[in-house]
Parts: sequence; structure tokens; C-alpha cells
Amino acid sequence: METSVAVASRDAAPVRRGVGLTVLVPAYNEEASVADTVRSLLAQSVPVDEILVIDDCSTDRTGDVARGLGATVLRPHANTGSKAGAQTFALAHVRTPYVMAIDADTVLDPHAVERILPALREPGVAAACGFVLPRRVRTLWERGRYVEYLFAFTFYKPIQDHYARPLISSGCFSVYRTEVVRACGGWSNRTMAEDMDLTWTLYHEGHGVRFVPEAVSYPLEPHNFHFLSKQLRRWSHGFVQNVRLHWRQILHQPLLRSMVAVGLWDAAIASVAFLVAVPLLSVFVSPLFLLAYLFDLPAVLVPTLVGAWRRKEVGLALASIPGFFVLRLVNGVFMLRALWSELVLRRTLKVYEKGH
Amino acid sequence: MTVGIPGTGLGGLFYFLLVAWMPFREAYLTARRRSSLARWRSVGFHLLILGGMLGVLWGEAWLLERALEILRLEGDGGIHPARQMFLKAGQFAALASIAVLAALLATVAALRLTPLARTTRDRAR
Repeated sequence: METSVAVASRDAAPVRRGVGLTVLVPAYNEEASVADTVRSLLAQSVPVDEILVIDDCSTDRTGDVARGLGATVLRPHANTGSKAGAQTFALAHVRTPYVMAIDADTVLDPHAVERILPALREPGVAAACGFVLPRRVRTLWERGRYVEYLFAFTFYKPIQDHYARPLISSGCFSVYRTEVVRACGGWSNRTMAEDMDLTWTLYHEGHGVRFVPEAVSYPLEPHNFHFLSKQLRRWSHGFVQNVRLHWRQILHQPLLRSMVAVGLWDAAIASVAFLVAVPLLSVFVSPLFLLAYLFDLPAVLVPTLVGAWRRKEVGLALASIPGFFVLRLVNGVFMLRALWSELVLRRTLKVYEKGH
Repeated sequence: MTVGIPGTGLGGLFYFLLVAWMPFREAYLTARRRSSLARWRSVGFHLLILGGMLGVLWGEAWLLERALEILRLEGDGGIHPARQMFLKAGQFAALASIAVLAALLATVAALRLTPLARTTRDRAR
């Protein structure tokens, strides 16, 4: 936690009377994207009370750009080291019952806040997350991520929500009850996936989390392999670190333990099968085994196309399908490396590297 | 992020089963007046998706069988060994997935009963 870091500067915009929501936008050298984020927050169908941009000692004009658009800019004396650190640093300045975390490269649908807030008013619910889709779908990696998100947010996540256990309240766009996040000590930087850490902590403490598919956010996803690798490294290590950290408590949560166990199995065994067993079988037994890479294509297509059809983007989804199959192989490599490094070598990833 | 490899493996099977269980759970909640029309709509939507996924997977398997027949992958003594092994591997993978999933879920459920699962909070009591 970085709450001990004093604020070097606080350029406050007048606090508006809104829906009881403060938005935290952690930003480090985000001058190219933070303006879109702040503008999308100002354009919401219901007004937010305050937009706090945490300019984490950027070397570019991030703070000036945000300030110019009317956001309150907080700048700590020293870089907090991670998104979690920046958000927790700003938590002390929140004076509303609800707090939202949003990445400085993410924009919201104009109705996102209006649609997500009612979920937090349900008894026992401490956090709510929305649908996530890449803002740009051009390169192979962005296309792969587009299909991955369409598939996961149309199929996996609503099922998890139906059983009241979304696996993660996504860090790029989530809303929380301020008092509950404070009671948890804010966002911890003990893992590389602070969103998963906080979500699982909320479950241990007996709180609920909701997924609201109608509230849509659009982050910028890595457009090339260099940035993608940083993001996947962080995510894969973050997952393993969270399993190591929370596994005892998870065992007492029936559905969560099953989801995590299955996820861990797929991360390890399915990755080995895809990266080692299938190539060996196709070389030494029969090339027919190469079909295993595409065997579940129809199953992936159904929810993906349903999600795309609702958004009138069926053509885009179909054209992006090949990217998904490439991306998941790459996912497998990163997952195996993270498992090997964290569990076997006991070498924990500690440096938070931004995806772009 | 998506944990594991999306769309395949045990995860897919696990979520299939969760969807199949939805109507039973919802009937139980309805009996206790804890359900709603919106929740039943969600159940129906997911059952439709599940039906679609199973339908296209069945269709794919059928097409594959026909394609292998057309390719006439047959040896001297009948079915070609590679084709036979491929088909057997498919059956084995399906059965093994169900068995592994059951064993995995049972193992993690049993683990919670062991001293290993004692949390700091438990120890403090």
C-alpha cells in the first residue's frame, strides 16, 4: 500500500453533485489516451461527482491534459510502482459512497455508469464489473482479444454471475462500495493482478460481486507482440500469485474453488497438450491430430457470434476468429512459464510493467 | 483476463455442466421465492447457447466422420490405423475429460476438510 506517500500536488476541480461516485484513473505517461477516458466520463448519462486522475509521476503531459478537461489531478511525490498503488493512494481522497476504477486507456459507453450502479445498491454487493471489448480491432492480437472477450463475456461471465461468483471484477472498469474497499486496505500490490486479489478478498469477507453486461467499456488492447507479452506476463503471473495467496480461503468457497481448480488445470494441462502433445502426435502418429487445434471452433463460434450479433458485428467477429486461435496458443506459453517460474523456481514477478 | 485456455479443455466442460444445472437450481430458488423472470430468461438464454454449442459439436463430429470416409482412409484389413487411432483418441479424450473433471472437483472439495485448508482465521479461533 502506498497511502503513506504524501500528495505532492492536488489540483482540484470543483466537486459536482452526482450519483455518489468518484472515479479513479491511475495514469503513468498516458497523455495520448487519458483525454478520451476523461471525456467519456464527462459524457455519462448520469453525472459522476469527481474524476481523480492519479498522475503517477508521469514524464509527459498526462496531468496537464486531464486538468485541462476538468479532472482533479493528484500527483504523489514518488511513483507508486503499480496501478494498485496509485488507486490506493487516491482512495484517501474519495468522499462518495461509491468508487470506480478505470484504466487511463479505457473509454465507457455513455450509459455505463447509469447501468452499473443499480447492481451496487443490491444488499451485500460490494463490487460490480461490466462488459469489456477492445476499442480497436485491427491487428492479429487485437482481433484475438476481441473474440476472447466476446466469448468470455457472453458465455463464461454471465454463468459466473448467475451463480453469484464472477471470477474477477475486471480492473479496467469496476465500481465498488468505498467503505468496503477501505476496509480491505484498498488495492494491494502483493500480486500482479490486483483486481483478482480484491475480488477474492471480497468473497472471503462475505461480500457479493456482480457482472452487468449492459455496462460496456472499451480499453485499448496491446496491438503488437511486444506489449502483449508484457500484459500476458503480468496476467499469468498474477493468476498464479493469487492462487498461492488465497488457496486456503478459496477451498471454503464451493464454486470459486471449482472455477479456480479448473482454470489452473487448463492453464497447465491444456497448455501442455496444445504445445507439446498435439505436435508430437501429429508428427509421430497422424497429421489428423492437428485438427485438435480447431476442434472446438464451432463451440467457440456459437457464443461469440451471439455476442457479435447483438452488437451487429458478426463480420468483424468472423474475420477475427483466426486471431483467437493464435492468441490462445500464446496464452498457453505464458501460463506455463508463469507456473514454472512461480511454483517451481519460486521466482515471483514483482515489477509491474505496463502493457503499453 | 481469461484464466486457462478459453473454449477448450476442462473449463468448457465445467461451464457446460453449470448451464445444465441452472434450471434445477432456479426451480429450487423459485420454490423459495428467490427467483425472478429475469433469472429464468437468463437460464433460457444459456440453455439455448449450450444447445447450439452441443449441436454444432455433434455436427462437426458427424462431418469429420463423413470426411474421413470420403478420404477413404482405409487399409488392407479395413479401417486405416491412423483413422482408427484418431477416432479412439477422440472417444478417450471425451471420457477422460469427464473422469478428470469429477476427480478434480472431488479432490478440491475433499482438500477443504484437511488441516491444510485451515486459514489464519480458523487458527485464531
